[in-house]
Amino acid sequence: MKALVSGATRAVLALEARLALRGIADMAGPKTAMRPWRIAGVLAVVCTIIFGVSQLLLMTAGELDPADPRLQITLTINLAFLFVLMISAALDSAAYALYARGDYDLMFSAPLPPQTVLLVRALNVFGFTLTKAGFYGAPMLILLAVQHGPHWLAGLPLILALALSATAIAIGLAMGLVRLIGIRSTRVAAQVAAALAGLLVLVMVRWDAIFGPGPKDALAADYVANHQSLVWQLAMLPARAVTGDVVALLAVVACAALMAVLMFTGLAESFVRNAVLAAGSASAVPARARRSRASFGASQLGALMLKERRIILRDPWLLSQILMQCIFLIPIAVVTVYRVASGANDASALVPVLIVLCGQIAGGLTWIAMSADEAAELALTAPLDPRLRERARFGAISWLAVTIAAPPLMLLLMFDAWAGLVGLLGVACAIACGIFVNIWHQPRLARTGMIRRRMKSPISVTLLELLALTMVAVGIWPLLAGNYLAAMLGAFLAVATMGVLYAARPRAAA
Amino acid sequence: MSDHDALVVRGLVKRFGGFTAVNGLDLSVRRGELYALLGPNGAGKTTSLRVVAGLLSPDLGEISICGINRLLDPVAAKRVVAWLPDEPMVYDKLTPVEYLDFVSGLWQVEPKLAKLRRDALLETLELTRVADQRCEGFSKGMRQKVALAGALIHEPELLILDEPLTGLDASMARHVKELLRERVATGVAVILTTHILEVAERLSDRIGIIRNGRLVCEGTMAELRNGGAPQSSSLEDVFLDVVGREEAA
Repeated sequence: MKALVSGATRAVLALEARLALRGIADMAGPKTAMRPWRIAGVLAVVCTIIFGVSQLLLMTAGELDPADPRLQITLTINLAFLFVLMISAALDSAAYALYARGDYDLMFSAPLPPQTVLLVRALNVFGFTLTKAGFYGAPMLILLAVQHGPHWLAGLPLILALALSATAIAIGLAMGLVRLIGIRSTRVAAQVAAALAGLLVLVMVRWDAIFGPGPKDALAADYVANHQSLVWQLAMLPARAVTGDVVALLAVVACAALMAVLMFTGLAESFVRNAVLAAGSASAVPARARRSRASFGASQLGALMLKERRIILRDPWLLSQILMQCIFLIPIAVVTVYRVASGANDASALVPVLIVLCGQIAGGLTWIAMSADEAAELALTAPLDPRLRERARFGAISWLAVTIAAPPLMLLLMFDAWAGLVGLLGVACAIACGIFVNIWHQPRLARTGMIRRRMKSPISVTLLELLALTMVAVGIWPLLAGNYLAAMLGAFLAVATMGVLYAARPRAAA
Repeated sequence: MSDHDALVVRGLVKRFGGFTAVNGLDLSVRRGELYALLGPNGAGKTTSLRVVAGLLSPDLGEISICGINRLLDPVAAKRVVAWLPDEPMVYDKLTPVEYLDFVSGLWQVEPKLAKLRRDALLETLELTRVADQRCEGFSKGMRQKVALAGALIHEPELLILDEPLTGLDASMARHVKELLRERVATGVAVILTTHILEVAERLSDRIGIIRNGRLVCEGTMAELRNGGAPQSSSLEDVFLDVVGREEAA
């Protein structure tokens, strides 16, 4: 506590808060000033989206009786998924905040005890985890409190306690992983874990569609039969807490506080040792590359494309980002197979979703490739037609995006040939749109540091990309029903949207 | 512009919003000449060089590189120019060999010739030992050497260097200076910025001092001394005198 109130600690905390706010402002675009209205604008857009989605989910929930065992089971499953999501988010944040910030020379040379550095970093991870979990959970709880009674507000301190527990677990995990596999691999592992957790959330939302009511009914029956057992008593604590049981809530909060204290007192020394090691890891012996027969000399276009491919495929961190993008296609494939296998003949309903997802993957890949270009100025000073640079980037990204989109498209073609063909056309258009919107509108001369610092593409570009992809989906949708006139109108809208986005692109140097 | 001029800049203006970084800059660099562009921090040196290299578009002015109008035919102008910024432009995930092959590909150097030049540059810059290692673990000096090799591999007629000796150890810095003088002797024009005034004094044929985006003084070391400074003055004395006079004005 003494460490918390020292002037130096307050200075570090103020810095962390400023950097966090700047991170939010950065979501509005690069080099944006940290003006309150800009931060408020970003938050308002995000809140509107999350409250809207939460309300849509709530509308399908029906009557909510806290004493209903099936509701208790549903809440327990959802809270378990949310907790996994929190741990994965905290793990990624911890791996970055503890070992990859690059400011340890400053921190350890300042008159601060190392424990204070860990404390501030832990608060940073906690804040990040709480914000993320809060964005997912708080709107739902507030809507529940408004529509079904104020006892649902007990879920808010519960989220706080879960975030604290997740922080403690993630910091312990990050420290263990860094010792075992090193800082770089830990960050990749954290990214993959985050992607898998994201997948779990999708499974949670689509639980009934994928698994049907059977598993939940069986769990509810077992709970009713054995509700006095210690396992069920412990497992149901969070569900009871979220529905307003004060004793259960206090138990969860006490448990979280105990975990946090144990983490802090037990790991401070190990943190200092690992952080010092991680700070020196940049000067490790560099990897030796095998000489490839692929030639840079064939043409300027070939040289640029080969460079893009090599940089992406040699960077495990970038690969993990791509893997994260791909992982969201798995539920589509699973649901397609599941629905077709269970006799439903509506695989075509997935085509618009597939179109938007593939376009987003292509856009994400383009952003990754542009942000990973550490020497973007080199190509700008080379004797190249600027259109050739764009063509090379398009070529390098599109083959990757097509490779990723191919498996679900093949599945679709197998089950429903017409939907597959229309999907193929839509996905091709979406990939092109996703790539070009990013090429035209992403900030120029971004460097690898940027992608690793900001972790997010500017929200303005994401919204433009979504607009273009929605237009493609709107244009393709009538084709599935054989309405060619409406499809032509949709295609015209999509082309017009892309034309406007092209005309509105920022101009680059000659 | 005469045939002897590798670079001619006339009335160059570059603004960023309400701030004028370069304000009517005029300068010329002859073939076979090493020109040092000096100035205090924020004087507009790097911005001027970035405009010449084609990374920024000017708001006003003309730029001619080896007789090619840089604004009318940027691709042809870039063919004869190399730009080396103070932060080396190398890719962490490529090896020096791959990086040099890539640069050769961009400038369309004939592959056999590119290989010969590449091996010679790796040897000259003492990079052969690490030629097949990825650049990600290199020190700043090593990265600077890789970037310098990239700038030289297509044998440019105009070399634009922004603080080229930053991060190099004493022996390598001397080596690079000799390399630049050798290139200049073959007719290559070099324009560089540096904060190490001793380097500018010993290395350059002519020196320009820029302040507030405008050239305030230019000439050989002897000509600069004739501008009022005592004959025994060093470049540092001349520089501080010129900058101080401008500040007072």
